[in-house]
Amino acid sequence: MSCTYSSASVLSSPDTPPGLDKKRHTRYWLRCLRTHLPSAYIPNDSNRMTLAFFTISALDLLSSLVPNTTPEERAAYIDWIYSCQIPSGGFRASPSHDLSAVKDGSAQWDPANVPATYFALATLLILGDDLNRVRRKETLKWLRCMQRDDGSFGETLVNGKIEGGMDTRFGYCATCVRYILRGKREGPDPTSEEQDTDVDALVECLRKAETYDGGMSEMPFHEAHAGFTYCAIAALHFIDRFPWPIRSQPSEGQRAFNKMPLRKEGIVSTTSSEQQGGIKTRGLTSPDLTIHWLASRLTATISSEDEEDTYADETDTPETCHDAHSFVHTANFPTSMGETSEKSRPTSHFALDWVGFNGRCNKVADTCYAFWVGAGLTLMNASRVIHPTPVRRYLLEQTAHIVGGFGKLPGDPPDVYHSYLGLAALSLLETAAQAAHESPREGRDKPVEERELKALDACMCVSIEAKSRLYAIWQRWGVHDGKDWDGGG
Amino acid sequence: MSDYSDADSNADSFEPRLTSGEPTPEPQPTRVDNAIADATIERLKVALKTVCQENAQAKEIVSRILLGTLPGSNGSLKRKRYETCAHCEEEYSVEENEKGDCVYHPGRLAVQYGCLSRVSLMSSIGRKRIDVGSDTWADHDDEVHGDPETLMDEPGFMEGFMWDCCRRNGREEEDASGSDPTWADLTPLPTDEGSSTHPLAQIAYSPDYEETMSYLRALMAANELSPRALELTEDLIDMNPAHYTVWLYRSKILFALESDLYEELEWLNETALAHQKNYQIWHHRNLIIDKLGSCEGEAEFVGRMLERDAKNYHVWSYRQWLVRRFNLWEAGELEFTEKMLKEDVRNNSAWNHRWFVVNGKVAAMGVGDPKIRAREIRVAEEAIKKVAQNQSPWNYLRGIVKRCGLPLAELKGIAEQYASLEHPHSVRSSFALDLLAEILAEEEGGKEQAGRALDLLATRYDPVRKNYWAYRKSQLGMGELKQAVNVIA
Repeated sequence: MSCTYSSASVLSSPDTPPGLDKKRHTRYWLRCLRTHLPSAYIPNDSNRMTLAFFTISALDLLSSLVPNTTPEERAAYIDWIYSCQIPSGGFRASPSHDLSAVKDGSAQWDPANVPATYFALATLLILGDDLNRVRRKETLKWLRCMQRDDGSFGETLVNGKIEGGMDTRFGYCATCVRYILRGKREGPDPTSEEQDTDVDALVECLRKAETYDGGMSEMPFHEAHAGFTYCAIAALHFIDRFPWPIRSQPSEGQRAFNKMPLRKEGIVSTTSSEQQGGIKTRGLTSPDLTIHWLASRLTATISSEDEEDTYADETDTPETCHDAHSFVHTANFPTSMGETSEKSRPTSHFALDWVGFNGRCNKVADTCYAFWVGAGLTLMNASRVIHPTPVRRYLLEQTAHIVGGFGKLPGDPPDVYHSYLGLAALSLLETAAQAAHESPREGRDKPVEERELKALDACMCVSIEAKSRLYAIWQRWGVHDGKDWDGGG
Repeated sequence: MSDYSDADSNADSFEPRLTSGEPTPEPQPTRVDNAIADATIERLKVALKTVCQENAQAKEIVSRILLGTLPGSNGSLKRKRYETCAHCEEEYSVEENEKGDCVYHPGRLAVQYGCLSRVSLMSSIGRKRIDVGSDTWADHDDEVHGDPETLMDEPGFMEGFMWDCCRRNGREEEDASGSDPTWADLTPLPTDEGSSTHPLAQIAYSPDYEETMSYLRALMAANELSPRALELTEDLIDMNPAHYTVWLYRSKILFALESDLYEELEWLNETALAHQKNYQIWHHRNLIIDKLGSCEGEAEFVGRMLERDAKNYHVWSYRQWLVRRFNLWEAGELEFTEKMLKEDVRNNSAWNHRWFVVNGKVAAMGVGDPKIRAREIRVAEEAIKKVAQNQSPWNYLRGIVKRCGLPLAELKGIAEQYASLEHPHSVRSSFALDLLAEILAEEEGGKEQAGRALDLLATRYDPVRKNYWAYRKSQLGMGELKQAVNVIA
């Protein structure tokens, strides 16, 4: 464990966590908004809608969007997003992919993209657009074509084939698009009469990607990963198939739902399971184990120096050990090297000033996992398993950069991905810290001016304020009967 | 790659052979020599290709002559040694070209450094610059005659510009661009930001990227499946490997042209090493290997990738695919995981792979077979013996018990071996203590002891997670943690 005191400009005392330098972060994001991103972003040219989302949403969380942009500018941003819409539904991820200007151009190479569609719709909501120009019916139709027989979603549809990985990232983005356009209710959409996606198949697919240690992976038998775990949990929320709240003392019947075995393929169809008294397969076979896995991602191993040398030294020291932050007694030493190593060290655990999250077992912490894990725990109704202060200090004193924004590891230059997820994580920590003192509802409802950052919706990863604009839009579309609504605090 | 393995060491010895050494008597020209002298370039190219295909030794010689090493690549990256500048129409060696020789070529090389692309397109397009020494501008008044930059294509002003590659006069443009028939017929299609006055997430594109993208877009719009298109996809992928349709376009061209897939693999190897975090590369590799129907050499390549990063998620996922696709369950996979765990017993990716190898085959009993179960428990116990404070084998043990539907109490023996409540000062693994707490909580009358174990975790052995241990204790109905200060922030 190396102490990087020198890299932290101002150290706060353990009891008073540092404040967020909102001006500095606002400056960073305004630079991203107003000037060209540096050439180092060329490898992300095909993800410009994602970069746009990070920029606009970060400024929104900082309450800096409206004060620093004119209505005309925001209208122009909205126009740009719509210029990426594909007439047959969905959005492309970058103007670089736009071939629509070519007469008889080969449209197959300019397909709509599932993550881009989520990011476009979310950014439109943040900018206060009414989604009037969204090709809703076409997008719902296209979304159904993006689902494979096994329940998973792909990224693009090219030449009639669903392309892209099978992992939960696309399932997450697809369920969010579905949620924004038609809420949680299952079955054909009453206004457009478009058929629904196969919700049961997606639940099965997500359950199969649970791992032996309680996390979730990209595909069955792949390694548990915090990003995929978050995506799966959030997707289950969007389709209203999350297990019953863990702390609400579920009834015997609800317990049975949670533990229902996987549906055998082809034996129980959606309709017959509906007919059996509306029982639906719910996600996550072992919520307690999933919380255990998520809580295990907390680590004091926060710089790459910390993770070096797990080789050859078989004794347990903070340098070699990623998850213990205390000195564990060693009964006997397998080697003399180990004994020397052990005896040369201090005998009490070091201060836990900074605690981060890793994405997989025995890996170093990384800024973005403070969001993926923190939001996963929030959605599991278990954010209290994190002690917010050391995580906050890790973000603000270790990975926040002097020019604003956040890097991946301490000392790394900022990038828009880690900078956005760093802010998103801080917003959730703020909510959790408030909830520890007050009731969760009060924490969420706290007036904006008393909060550092706007409260984040852990599921959609936008401010609760932006998400709550959906309510009026749903009413206008006639897809909302008042019972589905869970947003808006 | 392996074809050219010794090309570096011999590369230097080739040219001196032409210029130094004892003068030898001029041999009499044979009939073949005369035929070569009279043949067309096209005919000679075909002949040389045939020789290379039929004779490995000949191929090696040709490689030595025509392939050079990229600067800074430690000799591992190969590219064409000779290029022709379209403007000065002179051949140059990319290895010997230095600043000052030609303004254009070194600029290319700077960009080419570290990537693998060919420069055929690039070297065929020069840039026109204002020739400040030209008489054209002597009496030029910007206010009256216009900004010189805007006059580049005006017939009357050609003399005022020069090509930056060969310093020839701008008047010679027609000849220059017409000299490379490869691209002459194609009108580039630049990226268009739509009608929006404020595009989001604009990137400072390099001139190379802009140019390559505009040609690629023109080719994709025409859905051209040609060798030049194939070559251009390489250039673009090197700069933007996350482009979500260029890979699909490339595979379509490859299969349409019935290209040599082994050559494709060689290129992919280099590209994968250059872009380790990209997942499209692996999907493309799946396609190629699947089509080839052989996984020869793949294990070695995966091994090379894991040498660079032993926990690379894409590489492990790909290895799982190989095992399934080519039925390699019994072909040394278990031994491979043993080797990887011997190198780093904390490599959770290797533990996960072992779980997959043992349990992942369709209809496999896996750890359900008592013999296999005993073996796997032994492996985990040995690993714990080596390093007790390592989460991976503890999770592995839990996984075995869970999959077999056995009670967690099966693991009480080993948990107590490393964490006994009778000796609270000599706990050797926080993971053992965690496991013990869970086992005790399920025992009749064990709650109090479980609470003690959780107190120990929170205050001494794993304080990073103190809030989680408090949460676990509250689930037992045990109230607050003992000895813990500020349990909830």
